[in-house]
Amino acid sequence: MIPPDGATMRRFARLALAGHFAVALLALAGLAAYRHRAPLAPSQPIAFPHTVHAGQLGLECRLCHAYADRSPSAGAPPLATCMTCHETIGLDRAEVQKLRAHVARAEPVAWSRVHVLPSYVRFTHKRHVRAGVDCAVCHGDVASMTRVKRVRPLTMGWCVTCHRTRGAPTDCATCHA
Amino acid sequence: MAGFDVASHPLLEAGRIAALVVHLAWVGLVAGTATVAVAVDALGGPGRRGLARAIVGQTGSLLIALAWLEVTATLTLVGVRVAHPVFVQTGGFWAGTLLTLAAGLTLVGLFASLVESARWASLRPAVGLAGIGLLLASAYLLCAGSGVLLQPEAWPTAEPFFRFLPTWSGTGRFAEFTCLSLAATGVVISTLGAPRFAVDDARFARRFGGWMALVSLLAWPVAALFTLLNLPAIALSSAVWGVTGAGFALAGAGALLLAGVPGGVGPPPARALLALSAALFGVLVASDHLARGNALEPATLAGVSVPAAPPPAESPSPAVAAAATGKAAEGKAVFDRVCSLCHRFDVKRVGPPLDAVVPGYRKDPEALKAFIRNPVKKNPAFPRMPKPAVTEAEIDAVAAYLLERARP
Repeated sequence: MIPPDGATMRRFARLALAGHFAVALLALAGLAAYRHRAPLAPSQPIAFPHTVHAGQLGLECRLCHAYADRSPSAGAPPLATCMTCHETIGLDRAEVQKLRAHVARAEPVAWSRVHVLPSYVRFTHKRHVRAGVDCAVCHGDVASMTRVKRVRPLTMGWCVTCHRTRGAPTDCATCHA
Repeated sequence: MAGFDVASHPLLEAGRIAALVVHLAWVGLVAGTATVAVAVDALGGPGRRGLARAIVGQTGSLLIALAWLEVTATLTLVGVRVAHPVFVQTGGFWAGTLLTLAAGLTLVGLFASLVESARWASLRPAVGLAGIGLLLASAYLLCAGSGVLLQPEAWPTAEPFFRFLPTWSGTGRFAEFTCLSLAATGVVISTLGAPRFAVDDARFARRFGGWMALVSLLAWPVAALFTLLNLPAIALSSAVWGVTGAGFALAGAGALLLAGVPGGVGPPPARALLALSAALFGVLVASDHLARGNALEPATLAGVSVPAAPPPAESPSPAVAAAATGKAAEGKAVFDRVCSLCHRFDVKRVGPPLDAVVPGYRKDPEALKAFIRNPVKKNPAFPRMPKPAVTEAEIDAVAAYLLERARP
């Protein structure tokens, strides 16, 4: 076997160095894909603007999310709730027309869920709203969001941090039944 | 939140980024060169005393004075940026960071003068190491502070305690800072000119510095990936990934430039490598800054400092209960459930303010009931009111409530 000379070694070293950074770039791309696998602000079938309803009109959250203070789920409003106003308002707008087409076909709107919790977490809106937790504590300023974005990590550490701060129970069975 | 708006002018923003780059690069360089000088002084034997003196000369009094000036400026600027009412890193945090930095710089300066005068040989390493430790502690506080900033939900926990909380992303930033500091130090040492000291020392410095820079550059992407893995999702954006990717490419170019050095083939292209080291600090600061911009949007910050409201009372207070009795109380319940969707008494919502329209019905309550029962378009400025789903008894109650509640 012929021992490699200096020039060969140097070429080899440079190749290895370039390879190291190429792998790092690939890992970066992979990590980016992994971290963005669930969009923070998923697109919705109808571009419902919270900026108009909760922002300009100042409608209260619970007027549409009627079950927030009396059920585990805050609830997306039934189309009938939308139609109380949109029977007569904004009929010329494309998004309102989409809504009315859904009503005409008697077909519910398949909203994309923004806040997804794992199946082993038993979260109830009722308890939190009744304990006086403001909607913005977990949802941010929804009234300023044209498309709703998740602004909290929804991780266990985050939940527990808040539970500790506010003196709420931290027993496992509180959230994991 | 007002503090944020005032402090977010683009020029001020650019100035802060530049100041932070200079700050981190300086502190990194002081800590890095001091580390190498302590090692060479303690392990190199009397033969390398000249080299240790030359290296620590890089961290001489001028540098300390400069660092001092610039540190004050930087921290003032950064302080404005983060002067948020609920922000955890207030006075205590900045005082801690500054005092640690000051103590570290002083000890490193003392070490430099001790090497210069060849005194206290047995105490020198301890003084040097203590100084380096304090400098690194200051940098860690700064990096960890950035990590806490990116996790607003952690603030309530930090508040009652020490106003400081180590985070994984902050620790990652510190690891990045260490890698870049050692890389810059290596570059500086490898380019120390031969005329200043012995030829043998110069060759040693070139080899040692070259290897140090190369290894640090290779390690940096690992630290950067660790940071990005631990940043909260809200802090990430394509700009953050893009800046980091550009940094990886730059570091790769630097490593290839350095690759000739360990083999001893020609002097390294000093200026290009120095510019590159500075640029990598720029990448670190820019990535951190972009992440902070993403995470600290007003919409995100809303609710972070909202204290827990007292639980809503189960029954209204006696005074309120006495005021709203009978039919009007029933009417209020109907109003809250149905009408308040579009109406307020004092302001325009979807419909007109009720104070402007209801008093007109005082003489004829039946007309009000008839309108609620079967609304018609009255004012062209508003849409036609939809027919509410209410019973005759509820119409009766809500009309009574409206007439009682409306002003004048």
